[in-house]
Amino acid sequence: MSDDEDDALHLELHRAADELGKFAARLKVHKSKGISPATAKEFMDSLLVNVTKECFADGADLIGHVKAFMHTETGTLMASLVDMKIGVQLTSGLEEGSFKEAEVTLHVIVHGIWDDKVREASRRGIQKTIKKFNLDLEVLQDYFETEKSIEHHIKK
Amino acid sequence: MKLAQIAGFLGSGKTTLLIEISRELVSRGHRIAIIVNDVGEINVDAKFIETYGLKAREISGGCICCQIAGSFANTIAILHNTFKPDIVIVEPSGVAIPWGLKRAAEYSEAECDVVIEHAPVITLVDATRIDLLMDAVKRLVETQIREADVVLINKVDAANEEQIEKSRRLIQSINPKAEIMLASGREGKGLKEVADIIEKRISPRYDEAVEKELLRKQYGGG
Repeated sequence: MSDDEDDALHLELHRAADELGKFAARLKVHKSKGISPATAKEFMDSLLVNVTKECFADGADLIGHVKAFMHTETGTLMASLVDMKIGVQLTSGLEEGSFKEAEVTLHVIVHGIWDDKVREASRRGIQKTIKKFNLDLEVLQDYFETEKSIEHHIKK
Repeated sequence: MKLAQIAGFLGSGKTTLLIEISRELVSRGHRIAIIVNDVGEINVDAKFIETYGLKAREISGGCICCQIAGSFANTIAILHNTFKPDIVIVEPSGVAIPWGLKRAAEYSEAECDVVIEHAPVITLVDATRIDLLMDAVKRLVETQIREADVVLINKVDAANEEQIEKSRRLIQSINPKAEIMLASGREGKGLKEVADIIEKRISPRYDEAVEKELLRKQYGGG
């Protein structure tokens, strides 16, 4: 196999593997009255469900993995959604007591729509959830790039 | 230093299983480090893994098997020089190719005084979503199964008998040589057996001819 053929196959493989729309964001949420562990769990559940529903409304046909990690002064909370029928799986390391501020890292990977659409849908899902829980939101980082992982194989 | 890959499609339960296997290996006296290659530049999994007191490093910004192979090799070298793990468990993103990842890991031998050996490549298949995945991302699932030494049919606690059997038949048709096991990261099923495989068994080092043959079979019509 020549180097060109090898590159072509590698590119093909990555495209096959990368037919997923992706979005990630790092968020800071705040509530001066405080957020209880129970509310934090409801928030994470709603966040993942709302974001996923918005993606499906825009044409996604399969969840790759939608997940979020919350870090607070009272501990951490991981949320993971792979199948809407099964629902959000939560792993809590939160201690008792409320907290006022949390950092949330969100990852959205779905099949059927590309990064720009996943980003728009995710943003709508985030806003819906923030409104429902009456939280203040600061977006610390908001990331998406199309075909980044295979860019190096594309000859310009 | 032994390198163990745990591959599989998104949401197949890699992180959950990896944490439990790592804890089992730590309880056996091993010094374990974990490298995760999440999709995107913001990593979730490394943060989660560290909440279990495990040593985790993240590599982001591309595909671990080629684009950021240098970063991967460098991370292994740094881990070897500082933390001295005897086993490094790698959770590659869905776009990494197991044979390419072996090659990238072996690059670290040029950067520090270490000899890399490989545990069998383990691929997870989510039995609860096998139909959905074969409809939507067939080629990726096939690639991950084809390059595995051991395929774990995972989430058997949530899957029915038909889904498990369907998964088994699919794996056998794609990779007849693969060893097939049943697992549940949440219930601990198969954990000790997988830890045994990582601890005691060896998989061949990188061989360019083997990788090209695998690529050709998958994409070259061979």
